[in-house]
Amino acid sequence: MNPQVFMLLNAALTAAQVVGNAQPVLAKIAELEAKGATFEQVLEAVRGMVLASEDAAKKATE
Amino acid sequence: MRISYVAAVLMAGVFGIACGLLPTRDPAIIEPAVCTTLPTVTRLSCAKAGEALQKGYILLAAINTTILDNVKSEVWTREQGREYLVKSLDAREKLDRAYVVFQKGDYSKAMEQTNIVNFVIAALQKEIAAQARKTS
Repeated sequence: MNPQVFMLLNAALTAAQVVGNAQPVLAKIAELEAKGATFEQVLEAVRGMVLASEDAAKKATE
Repeated sequence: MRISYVAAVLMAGVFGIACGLLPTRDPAIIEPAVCTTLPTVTRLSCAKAGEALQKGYILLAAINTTILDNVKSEVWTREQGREYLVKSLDAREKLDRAYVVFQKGDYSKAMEQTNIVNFVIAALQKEIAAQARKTS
């Protein structure tokens, strides 16, 4: 494959990777909403997922 | 040439979706209870601020996971991962501050602060995609 095309595709895939990595969070939100959770409960859960992902990334980059 | 065109169109599509943060969700589905008691105009800014806060946190979790994945798979060095993580941590702290403003009931200010942070988060997302281009 043309290296330029490869570079373009790689950048697009990384952007897609970020969107793809949002799916588990969206699934959790849908699950909580289905259980009747309030906005505040959902937001706290999402924030908890952010903190957990921060910890995991911190450990990996130490 | 034909392959380049197809790749460019594909990239534009995927990148367009990614840069638009996340698909718009109906704020009525997850409207904060506190917003429902407000007059219509304030209620709208309250719901929009709540939605923007949620989008920001969702995207930060996704960015952190992307950092983790790319460092673990050695696409990036630890230093590169740390560089992005510092920006992500900074954005989360700012989002937390906007959430406090939201909880205090200043929805317009919360919305303003959240929009600024979400702009920074979107820029970080673009930077991560640009880094992938350099790394390849």
